[in-house]
Amino acid sequence: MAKNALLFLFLLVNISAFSQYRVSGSLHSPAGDPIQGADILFNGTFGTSDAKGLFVFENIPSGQYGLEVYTDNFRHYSTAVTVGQEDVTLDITLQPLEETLDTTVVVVPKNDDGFNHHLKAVEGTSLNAGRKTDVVNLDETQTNKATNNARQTYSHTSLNVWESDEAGLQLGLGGRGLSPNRTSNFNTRQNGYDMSADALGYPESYYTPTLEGVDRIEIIRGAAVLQYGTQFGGMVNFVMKEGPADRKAQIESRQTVGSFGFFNSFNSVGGTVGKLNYYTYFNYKRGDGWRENGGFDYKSFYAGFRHQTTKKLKLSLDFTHMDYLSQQSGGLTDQQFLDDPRQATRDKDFFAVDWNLGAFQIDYEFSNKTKLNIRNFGLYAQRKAVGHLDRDYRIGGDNTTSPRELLHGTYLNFGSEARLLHKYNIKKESAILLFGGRFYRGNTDNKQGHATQNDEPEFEFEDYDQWSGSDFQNPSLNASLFAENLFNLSDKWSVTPGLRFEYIQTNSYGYTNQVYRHQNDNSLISIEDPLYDERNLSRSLLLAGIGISYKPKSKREFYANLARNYRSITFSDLRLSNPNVWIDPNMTDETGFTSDIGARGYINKVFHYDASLFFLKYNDRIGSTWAQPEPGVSPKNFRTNLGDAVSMGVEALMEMNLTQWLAPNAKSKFLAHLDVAYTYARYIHSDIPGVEGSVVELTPPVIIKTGLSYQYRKKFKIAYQYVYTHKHANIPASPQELANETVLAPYATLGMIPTYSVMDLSLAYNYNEHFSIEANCNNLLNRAYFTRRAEGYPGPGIIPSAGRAFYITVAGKF
Amino acid sequence: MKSLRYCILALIIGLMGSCDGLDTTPDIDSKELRTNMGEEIILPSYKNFQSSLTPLKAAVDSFAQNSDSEHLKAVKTAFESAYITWQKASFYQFGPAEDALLRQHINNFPANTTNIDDNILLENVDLTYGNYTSKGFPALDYLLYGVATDEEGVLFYYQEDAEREKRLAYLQAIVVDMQNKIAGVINTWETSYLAKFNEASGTGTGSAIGNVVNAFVLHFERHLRDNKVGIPLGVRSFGAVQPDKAEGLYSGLSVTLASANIKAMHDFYRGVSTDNVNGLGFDDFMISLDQANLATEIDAQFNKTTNEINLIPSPYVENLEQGNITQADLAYDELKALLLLLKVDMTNALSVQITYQDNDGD
Repeated sequence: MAKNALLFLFLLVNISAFSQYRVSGSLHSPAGDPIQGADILFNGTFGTSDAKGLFVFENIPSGQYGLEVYTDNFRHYSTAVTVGQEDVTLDITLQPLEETLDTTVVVVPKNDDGFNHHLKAVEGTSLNAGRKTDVVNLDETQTNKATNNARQTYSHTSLNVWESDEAGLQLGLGGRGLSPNRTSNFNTRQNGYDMSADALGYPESYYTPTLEGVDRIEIIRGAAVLQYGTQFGGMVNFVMKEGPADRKAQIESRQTVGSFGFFNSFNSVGGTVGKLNYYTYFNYKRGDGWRENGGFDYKSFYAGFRHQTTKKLKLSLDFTHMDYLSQQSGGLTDQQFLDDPRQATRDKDFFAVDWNLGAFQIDYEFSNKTKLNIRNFGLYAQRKAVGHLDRDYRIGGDNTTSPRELLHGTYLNFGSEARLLHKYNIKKESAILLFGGRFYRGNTDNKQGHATQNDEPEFEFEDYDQWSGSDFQNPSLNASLFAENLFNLSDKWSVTPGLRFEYIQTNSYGYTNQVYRHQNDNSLISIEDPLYDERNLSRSLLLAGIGISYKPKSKREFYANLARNYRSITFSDLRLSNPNVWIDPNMTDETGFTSDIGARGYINKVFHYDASLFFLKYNDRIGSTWAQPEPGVSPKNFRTNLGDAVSMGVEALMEMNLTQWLAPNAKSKFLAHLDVAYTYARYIHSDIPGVEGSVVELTPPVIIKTGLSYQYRKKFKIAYQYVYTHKHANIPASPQELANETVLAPYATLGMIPTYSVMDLSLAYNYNEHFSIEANCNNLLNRAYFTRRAEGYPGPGIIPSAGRAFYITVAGKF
Repeated sequence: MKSLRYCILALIIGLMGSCDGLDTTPDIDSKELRTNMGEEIILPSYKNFQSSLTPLKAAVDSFAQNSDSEHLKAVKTAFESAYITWQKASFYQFGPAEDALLRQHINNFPANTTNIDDNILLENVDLTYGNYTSKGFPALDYLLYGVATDEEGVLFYYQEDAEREKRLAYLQAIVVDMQNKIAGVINTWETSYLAKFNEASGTGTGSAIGNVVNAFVLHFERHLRDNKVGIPLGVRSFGAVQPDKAEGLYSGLSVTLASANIKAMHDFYRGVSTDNVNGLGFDDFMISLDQANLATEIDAQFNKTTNEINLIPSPYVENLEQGNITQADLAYDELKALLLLLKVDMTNALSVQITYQDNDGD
């Protein structure tokens, strides 16, 4: 009795509140890699491990405790912890959950080898097995972030990049023969939710997230179809940064000045307070433009909140606002481009965009085998373009004969996607089922008409009823159900078949003014009643696809996939703002499929490769030609399904870490990369004369991107990059015409895009952990080139790309 | 012997084969056609027009010195002559003329008389850019015939009124601007464009013939059929006549100018040079493409249309106002028919693609 009493007293003394200690530890995988973001339950509270795998619990009284660790991809871990008279440090190795489930190629820590990476087979509630994917990590990629430079950002991917403004205000990504215009051939998302004007009806990305606030860009080619959308190009998802897990507030500020009056200010604050993680930034950009009359003024704001409400439930709230005003310099003819690419052909044309995007997401983990994600998003946005659409405008000319017109588009849409991921076993092998649905409702209002006739950036109609104009509403509805299942056939083979049911409704109704004015002075001749028109298109389709993956060794994979694609007619196809273009009333949607087969892998930390063959079949491709509406009536510009096309080729990326190869323990990194895309694309069938057998438009046959970068410790970095794009045309042309550069077209809006090559150089110096300075030179050799010809805004005509420009950025992190 | 016959037969068949069907290029060398068009017709027409402006400038300068009835008559005579000469050079708006927007600077009607009046009151108005509705022939048409109801009133406008200096200066400014614009276009043709024109072979888009046909047909459709005849007639306004939109509104030259224009276009079609020599033209080109019937049909339709236009009672404006539109209707119908032959049949025969945007309307 006495002994027990003494023991009891002894224990009481020890349990006394005056003795408190700290329990800390580190988590790592069997390979020694730190595990970040794991949930550690200790003493009734949750902690997380940071980027180094470290966690800390303070003020722990002596005693016996249990410690449990939960995290993705690793088995649940629990252990007993005894806190005696001193601090306790734990060194915990977690065991991977299922060797075969984590069918990633790479286990190498993210930011260490400097290579491009790919998406894991399972990421959150997405299945990416067997697909061709790229992850552009913004911290690693040497890119001029202040100018959102797409040419540099996507230098390790085989995409065709359009450059029509030097501040990256609009993003133009294409590839495999798909038009890069405003990335409309990709499903574009931010943090997993749509960000384009109307996902199907008007998939133009007027908004591009500020790269300085982006953590990484996930790209899935072609067969992204079944989970995200039906686009031929695939999906591009910008994952925004989050606040650091170990700080309450970290402030980052980057100030850039550059050539041609460029100024960029990026300021962000982010951190974790209790269960809430937040990240917000404000970005301001302005410039005078490399060309005359090409100035711009840009602002964007983002705020993202992540609340880990319970262990299983995470709530996220995002809000983005962006607006910019830019003046348009106009398009050039070939002769004007040769004379002076910096000249302007417009002095009263302006473009303004206003984007408001909000999203609310719920992530719920039923167990470590079942996860649910529900994302809800909404957009309210406007795009306004005022100026002169016709070719006969000259600077100094009078507005009587060539008045300003205004195109005003308003976009309002809501959408919701739910995805459920469930891991289960079939006999001895594991399998993952992804099941989900999507509902999307959009409305686009396009109004066009006579604008005010001054030289101000005013976006107002004037005398609307007295001039040609139109006002159309385009409501759209999209509902879909999709399911994909990853089957592990063995520990090396996996196959992922998938199915998607899609219902698409595209509508257009509205009025066209019928006002006839004299060609020479626009004096009024006659006015008729407005013409009402309505078109409704609805269709449901079933798409299927399959992905296959074979991993003979870890860090090496062969992948193949095949999926059906679909591109429904957009509002622009239904009704162009140009009344002189005749739309085929029987125009149908474009269908087709994409397939890839390739191999990717990492060899030690020295070499990374991803090489694939692709094949794309594109049926009923929509384009413009000339045709007679009826016999005896003169031919008109006719928009219709031109024919069937195929596109095939090779996309290969090779990266090498030369220091790792020659001196593995060196503290510096010397990297080289080479990305080559070869594309062969032809129209194989067409009822339109002259189209069959021609090269598909906007298909550079060869794109080469290469670069070298040298990084000394974490102090200093220099990177050089070279991009080469072979000549091509933006209309179907015969191989002969392309070779001889004799693609002739009525006006500079259609024709050759000559071969061009561009070099960039950038340097970065980290003074200490707080300050750094960067210097960039875009277009080192000041080459004059262009990547596009535009039929409407911002042309019509050739849109030159920017010449040599220098930038200096001073950045601070606190 | 037999083998020789077979050889000869094969040779004949071979020759026939190579001449017939395999080769789609025309027999007359289209380079000859281009050369005739460029060097014998287009450039000389521009130069003739340039020359016609010299006496006009001289007359205006004299009138500025001596603003009397005799000198005004001299200006009017030179004006008429230059206006008619322009009708022979007005349908080549491609290349240098298109870049310079020549037609807009020379003959953009109807003129905006309010703008003209305002411009005159401005000190040192610069007509180099824009001002399309307050310069060129339509402005002169107004200033020489339209500023008053009769000739006495017009003279008074330049003699007695307080603003006479500015008004006379404006007349001169208009003519100087026209001279500058045509000189610029001729210069570009002579220094670089003619060479390019001669080399731009074939009939595809961007070729010399492609450009010429497009400019020719566009002018015929919009400026001859619509602007000179159709719009004043009321074809775009449900039959309500619009006489104030006519060319030569104040001078009464509407029909004369339309006649001169269609004759010049017919001559160009036949390849008739400014020296009246019938060289290579579209008609010959079409004959060489086995389209002799079409060539003749177009020629006949040109004659018919020209006759009907010549018969339109002059002055067009007054007759429209009085409702005498029967003849103009007939002429418009013939113009429509001729346009279809040119825009659809001729372009198909020549394999030229029409690339300008047309307005709705038959």
